[in-house]
Amino acid sequence: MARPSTLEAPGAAPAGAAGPLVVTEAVQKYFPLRRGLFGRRAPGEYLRGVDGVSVAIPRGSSLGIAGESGCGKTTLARLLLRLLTPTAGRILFDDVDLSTLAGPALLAFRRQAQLMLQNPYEAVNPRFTIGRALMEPLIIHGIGTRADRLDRVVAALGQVHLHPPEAFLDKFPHQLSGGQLQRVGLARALMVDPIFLVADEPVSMLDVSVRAGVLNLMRTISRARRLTTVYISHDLSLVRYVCDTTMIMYLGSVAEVGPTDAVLTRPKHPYTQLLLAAAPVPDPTRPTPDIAAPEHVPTPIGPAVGCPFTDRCPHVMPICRTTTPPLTVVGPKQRAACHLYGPAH
Amino acid sequence: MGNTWGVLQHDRFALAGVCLYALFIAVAMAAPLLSSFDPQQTIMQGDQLMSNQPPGGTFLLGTTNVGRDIFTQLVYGARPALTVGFVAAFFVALIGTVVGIVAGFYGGWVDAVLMRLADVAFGIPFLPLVIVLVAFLGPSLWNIVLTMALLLWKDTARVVRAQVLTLRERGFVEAARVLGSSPRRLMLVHIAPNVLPIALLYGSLAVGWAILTEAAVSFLGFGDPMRISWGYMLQDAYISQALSSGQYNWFVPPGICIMLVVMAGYFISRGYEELLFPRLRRQ
Amino acid sequence: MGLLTLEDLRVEYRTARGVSAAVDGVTLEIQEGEVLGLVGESGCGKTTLGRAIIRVLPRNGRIAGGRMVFGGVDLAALSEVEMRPYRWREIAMVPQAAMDSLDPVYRLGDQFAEVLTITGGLTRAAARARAGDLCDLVGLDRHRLAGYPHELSGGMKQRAAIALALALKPRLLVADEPVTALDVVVQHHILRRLRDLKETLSLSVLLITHDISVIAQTCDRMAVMYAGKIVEVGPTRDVFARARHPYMMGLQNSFPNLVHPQETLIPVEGVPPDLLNPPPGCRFAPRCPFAVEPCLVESPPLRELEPGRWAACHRAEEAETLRGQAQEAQRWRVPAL
Repeated sequence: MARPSTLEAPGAAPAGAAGPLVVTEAVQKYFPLRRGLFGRRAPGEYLRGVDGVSVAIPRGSSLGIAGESGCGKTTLARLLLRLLTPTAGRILFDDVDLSTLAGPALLAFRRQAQLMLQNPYEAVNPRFTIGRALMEPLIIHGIGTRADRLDRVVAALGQVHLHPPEAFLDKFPHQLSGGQLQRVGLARALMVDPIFLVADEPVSMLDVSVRAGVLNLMRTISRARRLTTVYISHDLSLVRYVCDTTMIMYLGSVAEVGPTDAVLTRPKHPYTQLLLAAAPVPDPTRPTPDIAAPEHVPTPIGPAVGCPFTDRCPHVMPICRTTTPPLTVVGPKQRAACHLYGPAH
Repeated sequence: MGNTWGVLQHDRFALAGVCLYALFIAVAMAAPLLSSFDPQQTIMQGDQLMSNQPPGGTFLLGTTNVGRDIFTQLVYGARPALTVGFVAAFFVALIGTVVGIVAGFYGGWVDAVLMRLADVAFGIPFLPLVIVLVAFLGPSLWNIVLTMALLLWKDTARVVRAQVLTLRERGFVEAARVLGSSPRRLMLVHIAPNVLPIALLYGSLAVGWAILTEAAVSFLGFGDPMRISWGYMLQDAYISQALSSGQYNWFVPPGICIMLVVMAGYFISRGYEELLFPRLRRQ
Repeated sequence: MGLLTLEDLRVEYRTARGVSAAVDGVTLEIQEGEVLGLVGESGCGKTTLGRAIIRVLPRNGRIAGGRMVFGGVDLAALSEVEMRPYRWREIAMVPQAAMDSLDPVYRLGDQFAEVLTITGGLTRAAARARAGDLCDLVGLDRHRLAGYPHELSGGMKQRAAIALALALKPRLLVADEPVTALDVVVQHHILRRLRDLKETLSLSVLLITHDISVIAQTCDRMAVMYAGKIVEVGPTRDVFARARHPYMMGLQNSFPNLVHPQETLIPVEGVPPDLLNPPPGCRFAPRCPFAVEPCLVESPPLRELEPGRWAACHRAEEAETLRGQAQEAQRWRVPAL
């Protein structure tokens, strides 16, 4: 079981402050697959959602988790918020094991850790007015008096630049644009003054010219409030813009992790290199690189044998098929799970 | 829900349905004003029993073979019909919705148990159960309502459950979980209101079904003898051989009333369905 | 020589609230053997334009004016029967979310056979052979023909959809958001494939997307669409290097660049106009940092500023200065007027 290490990323809390906010220790989430009429589960018939991820997220930092669909980033996000429970390993939030939380302690956690959803059109109950939707967290946690709550809601709307705030109170979700709804989602997450925010593909469903506005807002607010944030995204350019640390996932495992600049300009893991080569850039003068790797991503069923990237890796070696590569240091604060950098080399 | 008036304006059928309902409800409530007789009352004029009187004069629709005024019976008959209809539909919708929400939300063994219960309800034939219950508990309007409530909730439950299964996955439900909503709150505040429209739809369908069922049960003789319902009238007419003696004034009016009320219910539910699923509306 | 020339095309939708012109006076030319990119955000009319070209508009939509000249024939004026020889045979479409449009209850091979035998008139044997060839063409494993759509990944389904579109050797392919829902590696391969097909099949492609980086990677020329109108046209490199329309400048500002990351992205504030009641004058004026009086009054026509380079902006001649000013974030915060 790999021991977690603390990544001191720029923008994090000063050294000497309490340790990392979130620590995952070889957290694993396997999904059983049912076969046959009576749901008999054959041994080894499970989907590896998250396969032993160990990471430490310093306070105040912004971590971007990127990878193709099926890499486990969405599952990991839900594990961090205790919407799912791990099948092995554990997650520590402020030094407390998430799975031990229950009752009032769990409710307290829910005040500290919040979520921004991908689909703005589905994020708010269609029957609620915006005002009512924003009051929901206050009602659940019993924050403030009735008069108080309205003020807080109005203040929150102002914070996310929905002006004039009063005009939005009685509107319904279907009357707002995607960008506006996403701002409402952010406001709602902030109503309880969380210290940890997970944003799941927060702008992927928004129009291009609207994305910048929402991203800038998120950046400003998380810096002002010293929020620890996790951005799930398949879009590396977004991660580059917003996150100080980047983690690349593949088939449930961490392929590479480190400061964003390092990972995205000096990628060490062949998979990161593949993603960077394939990512389209708004620059017609950049020549399109040749990519030899097949596009087919295998489905991670059954126990992992060797490196998950074996089938598509241009540098595959015999050891890759038999031994899972550990996360090795490949640069200052940068680690990659690849045998190219292992002790054999 | 806000578009109700708009739909009513567009959909002539739904409007007709609402008017019919209103009419029958008014008749049921104003029954004593519409007729001076009592529905059970055998009417004497002087020494003579007014039996089998043809329609006309005091007896708008004539009288039965034991001298009861048919019009009075018709007008009072609206009461049990509508009572059973609405009360039974209410309980069917209520039980079905609660079961559907709980089964859909929790899943797992809760879902399995509840759905198997629904299957059992599906398997029990309605009329024999009515007969059995009547035999044990006595013939009463409320026993019929009870039977319907016991057996007819399954369709609503199944449909509500399906709706809940999709709702469960929607963003705002997940958001509410993250915000700290308890399961109870999730079900009451987020799931139930979004399920209510379809529950009401099935409830309104159940009204028609309940009225028909009551009529059938009464027609077969298991109805409440203390209450004159339209079904009872049909049974009464049948056993008094009104058909062969050509007393159309006796058995046709109750039949038409049943038909009209049930139709009204379906028209309304059709209009409501368009509300729920706007794609059905013509562009 | 233009393969397809759109002349002042106008497409309307009848809605409960009135008539809206989703495509409002579009003049555009697609050359032989080129990939023309059409970029714009949701609601700008690009999908409507694509569907109008192949004449598959929804029931409440209709072509209200203009011409679509293809090989000397105005497609807009044809009846449904007269249009059939063109649809799928000369002009084919890969619609948005095409991978979801594959019929889930039929084997892939059968869906190919249907197009090839019924619309294409081939014999069953010839159709089978051609289906195999098509798979090779798009990079899909032939064995997949024996299976069902749900067994395929998103990328494979998209390739199948492209193959189906190419079945009858059309001269023009309209691809609406062909790679939007796909992962980057798949996206890369499919876009590569589209460019290769352009070469090998002498195919013209109209690539409709909201993503300017896809345009940058794939298209020879590009057209920018906003609120039902074309606002800029030109060779991709030139449009990116020397944008003439403020909206294009705004798009470039707000698009994060992976290789040359911007310090701060500058969003374009505001929303596109309601097409039921478009404003008089330039439709972008309410959001434009460079709008002046004439912009509010008169809608700028699409003018050819240099050979092959078009822009619909009253201040297009000042583009060089404006481009520099467009980098200043505060200009975009509050619109000029």
